[in-house]
Amino acid sequence: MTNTVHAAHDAHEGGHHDTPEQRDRKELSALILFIAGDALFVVLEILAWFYLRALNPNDGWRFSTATPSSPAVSGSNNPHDITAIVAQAPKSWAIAVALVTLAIGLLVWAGESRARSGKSPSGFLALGAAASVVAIFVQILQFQNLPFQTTDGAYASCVEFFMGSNLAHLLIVFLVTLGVAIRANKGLYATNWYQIRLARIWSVWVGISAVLLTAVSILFV
Amino acid sequence: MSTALLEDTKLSSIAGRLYRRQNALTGLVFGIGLAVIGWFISLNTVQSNENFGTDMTVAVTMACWVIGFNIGIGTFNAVFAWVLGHDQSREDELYGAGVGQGRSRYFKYCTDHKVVGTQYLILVFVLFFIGGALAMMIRTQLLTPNSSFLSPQTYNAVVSIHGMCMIIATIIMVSGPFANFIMPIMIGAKDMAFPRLNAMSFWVVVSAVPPLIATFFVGGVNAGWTTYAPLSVQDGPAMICFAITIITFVVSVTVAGINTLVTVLTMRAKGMTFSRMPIFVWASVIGGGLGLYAMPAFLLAMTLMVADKATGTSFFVADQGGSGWLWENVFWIMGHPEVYVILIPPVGALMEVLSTFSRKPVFAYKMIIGGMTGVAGLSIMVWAHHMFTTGWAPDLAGPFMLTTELISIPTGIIFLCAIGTLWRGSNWVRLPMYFGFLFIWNFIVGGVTGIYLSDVPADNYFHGNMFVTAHFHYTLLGGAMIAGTAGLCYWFPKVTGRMLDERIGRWAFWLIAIGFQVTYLAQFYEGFKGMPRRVANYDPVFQPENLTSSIGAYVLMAGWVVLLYALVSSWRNGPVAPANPWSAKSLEWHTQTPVPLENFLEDPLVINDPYGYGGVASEQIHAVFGANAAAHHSANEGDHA
Repeated sequence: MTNTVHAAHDAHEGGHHDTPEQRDRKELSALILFIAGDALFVVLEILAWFYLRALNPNDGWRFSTATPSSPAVSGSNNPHDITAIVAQAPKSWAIAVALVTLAIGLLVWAGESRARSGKSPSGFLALGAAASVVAIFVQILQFQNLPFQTTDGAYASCVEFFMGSNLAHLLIVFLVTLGVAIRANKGLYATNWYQIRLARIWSVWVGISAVLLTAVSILFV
Repeated sequence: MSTALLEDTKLSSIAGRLYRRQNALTGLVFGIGLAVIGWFISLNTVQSNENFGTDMTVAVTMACWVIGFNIGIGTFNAVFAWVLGHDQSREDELYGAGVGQGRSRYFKYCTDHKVVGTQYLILVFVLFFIGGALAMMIRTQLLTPNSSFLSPQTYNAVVSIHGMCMIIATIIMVSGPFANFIMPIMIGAKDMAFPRLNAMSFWVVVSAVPPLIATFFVGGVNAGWTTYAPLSVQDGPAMICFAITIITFVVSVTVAGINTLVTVLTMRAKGMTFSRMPIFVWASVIGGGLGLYAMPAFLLAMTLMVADKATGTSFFVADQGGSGWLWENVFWIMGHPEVYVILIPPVGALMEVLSTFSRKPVFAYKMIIGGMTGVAGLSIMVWAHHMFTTGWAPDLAGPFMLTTELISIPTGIIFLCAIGTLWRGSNWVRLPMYFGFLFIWNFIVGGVTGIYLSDVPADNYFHGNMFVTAHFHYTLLGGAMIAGTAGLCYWFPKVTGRMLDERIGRWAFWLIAIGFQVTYLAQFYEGFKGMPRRVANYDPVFQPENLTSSIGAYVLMAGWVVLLYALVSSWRNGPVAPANPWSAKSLEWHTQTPVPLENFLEDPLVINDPYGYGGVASEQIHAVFGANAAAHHSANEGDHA
């Protein structure tokens, strides 16, 4: 009876055994919805940044009369004498994280292009996975090299939260790129490249969000 | 075609692989184990850090519980299998869908949408039981002006957890059981689009419940269910447990919302065009979509609060540059759409009930969908009406008053369509219709009092008093929960395979209907007199209304207990239900009961909308199956040729 059921079922159109195209349609729809939700989260993060920056309660963001040439930290109400103007100094780590994160998206994109043209994508995908490890490492280094702590006022809070958010994104990117790299290496994408496209869309979105958060944290202190 | 059922398939002893060894018990063991490890490591490392403390230890412990439980139950199996390049075989899929596991599949990571729907139903009962018991404690405390039944601090904790427990329960009360069990069958699908994510959404929300209960054992949440900053930031470690619950819940709702939308977008049966979809399917889509909008804000609010408490950031701490208004904005950007995430799916279920039992098509089908969409759209532009009395942006009070009042237009359209569906129908007054009528009464009271609250001058008086409490209970309990109950009574035969004992059900109905009015009309009166809400003790001048309200609440609770008895006893021993006891049109009533594993033995072809009661005979058939579908398809092809 078992075999009869299997045969009857497999002859049935649709069902749990989708064709690659049906599966891709579902997964692409889901990814777009997930990115929409995630984008809203990023937008709200940025909203929090501008909200606290504009209000600057008790000079917790920056000393009210401070300028780049005259930071005027000493004697401010800021509990740890850190204002946005002083703290924003080391930008290089933030830019490095954003650039490496963008590079992941480009590497996966290159892998997808090769898969679409019938060539093996595993090299570029493996590089993408390696780049995500580098990005995570650089992100951690940025944490270690900040000139302030979480307790140093609203600006410091926002910067560290942006970094934490980016790290969470990167961990998912690592999982996804590692997955597609391993699967490509096993030849599972020999006949279709749909999942590589999903990995590319996600990686590129994470790159865009990293650039956005970095730009806000550097340009709008 | 073979008529053998897929669920009779004999599987090999290795089917399901790791899932064979996993169930709720392994989830519990892994959850507790990882929580203990996390607690131990945190206690010996981060707690000694000057910036961190007990809050960080509690955060790590609770996060470890959630992760550990989900490792133990099997949430991450498929993720890691995919990463390693291992895909599931057909046998694994069938094992995952519960084949050959009997009742034990209800305690496992089962991917069958009907099992997940039933699991959600039980979870909703549990959450309502907890929330209801806390409500009884609140009303007992308020029986007399200076009661010492609860200390003020315990009272605050009880109110907070009652609120959040009920919010979680009402968000999932229809979108969990019925959008899972019924909705895929309604559109002619064999399952949800992502069966494993479906199981994930359920087990993740299960893992969110223990941290909520744990709040009572670590000092209680004293900031109310809205957990306003800076109260919440100054509160004890219970706030961390509360926030971990919400963060986990957000993951579940997001996954469930995406799954619902993708299922409807990609898995409808042939002929199931958007204009033929049942209203309940539309309601599930709109509710799920609105949830996707609301949940990121909830996630951000709670994550920022955990950061403030556990790592010393200052998003909400004003003396270091934070602002309590940031909390209020982000929270209510979630909070008001969330009301409609709760309300829209039950209203969709109610429309199915009204149409079936009045033997009429739903009145103005497109207007109902337009009304729901309008409510959802406007709900994202009204959040600041919760902040009229806080002093935030007084210049925006007018615009927000306007958008809030505008929302009564699409709401009114939906309401009129409900009345229009009943109008001159051949009303068949079975138990679901009792609750349908009760919804109509309650919702008009809840809706009209909402218009008072949208008015800035009136809100200045009512905002901090019991009028608001009565209003939102009329909308969420009297509206959404009663409509959800109508849906439960309607679909009970399909979900359980048994007929509900309507004699006991009617007793429950009258107790609920009368108890509800007594409880909350008394609270409206308390509000008119100016009794503040969220107080454990009050001036004796308010005692008659509080006594009345508490008596009403006991009657109301008795009603729910009687209904629960009717549900449980009918589920166990009720008469076996026929496939279509209501002679309804939509697809779920045109498959067997109990529903086969992939829902239909023959694929449906949808040829009309599901509301063809009366009218032309050819328009009364919603769908045809098997040979009839093939013949219909060929005939149409011929017509086109």
